[in-house]
Amino acid sequence: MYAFLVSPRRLFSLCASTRVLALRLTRVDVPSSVIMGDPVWLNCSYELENDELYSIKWYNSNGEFYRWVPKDMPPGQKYESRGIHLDLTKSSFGNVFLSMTDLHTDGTYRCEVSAEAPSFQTVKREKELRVYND
Amino acid sequence: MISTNYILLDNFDGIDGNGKQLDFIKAFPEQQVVLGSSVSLPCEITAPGMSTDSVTLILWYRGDDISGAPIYSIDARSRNTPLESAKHFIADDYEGRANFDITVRPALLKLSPIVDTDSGLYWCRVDFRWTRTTISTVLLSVVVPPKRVIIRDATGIELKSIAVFDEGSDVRLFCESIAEPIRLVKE
Repeated sequence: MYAFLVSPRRLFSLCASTRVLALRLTRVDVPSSVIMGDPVWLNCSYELENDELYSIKWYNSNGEFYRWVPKDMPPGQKYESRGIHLDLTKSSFGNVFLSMTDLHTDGTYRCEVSAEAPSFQTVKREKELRVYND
Repeated sequence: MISTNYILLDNFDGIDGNGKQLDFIKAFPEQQVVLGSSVSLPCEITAPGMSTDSVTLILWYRGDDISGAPIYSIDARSRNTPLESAKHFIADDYEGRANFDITVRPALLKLSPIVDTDSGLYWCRVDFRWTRTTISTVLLSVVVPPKRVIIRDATGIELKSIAVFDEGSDVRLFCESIAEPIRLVKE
């Protein structure tokens, strides 16, 4: 009779190495084109199986401009970034509201979601947003 | 919901007091290393600007791994655990081959010995308590030196030492080797 003690982290590593994706992005919505001045929603949805959420972050080419960390108080936080006019009162989880857009809003956007410890499994996807002068 | 309290330490658009663009995303130069040797992959873990903010989490992951499981992580979120004492977690395929040295700047992920599946783009994400996340990337290319060179005749038979051909006949020889990246082998 043999007993094996396996830490939860090692168990998860075994699962991850056999390609069981406990965390995956289900939708990342960034409008491909926007008229300058118009507001915009960015949405990022995910599925977690047995894991908890650690963080959802939105980045553009200048870096992170928004994060949602359920364990933080408050969970939503934004960073000043050129071209990003983020309304934190309307934003939650992966859903971000940019109340207006200018030419600097144009660029590449990335949503990154991380599961909690012990796995910290992290998935991300990029989309382009073009801002046009009307 | 009060939201503006938490941007006090990072209240700018990425430009510091001297007008210099801060690097929240840092791409380090590509590293080419020979199979079986070792490499040090850099990661910027100092908070950008003048911030004295603390690191809460460091994750190393591979850009091409769709499972998203990190290869290395250090969780320093507990207020009682400074970064230097936090535990390091290493993925199975790097166990015994990876060590993240956070006493140096930039911090260095040392891999030894290198195997050919180590090639790829490595991301190091550093989460801070208040400051925005910093990401370092570095491309690792594993060079596989050529294994033995094989010379074959037109029928595919390997020629060893001496091959006999009729004078005046056409001779076609094929040269084979395994290497990464492909290099011309001259004889």
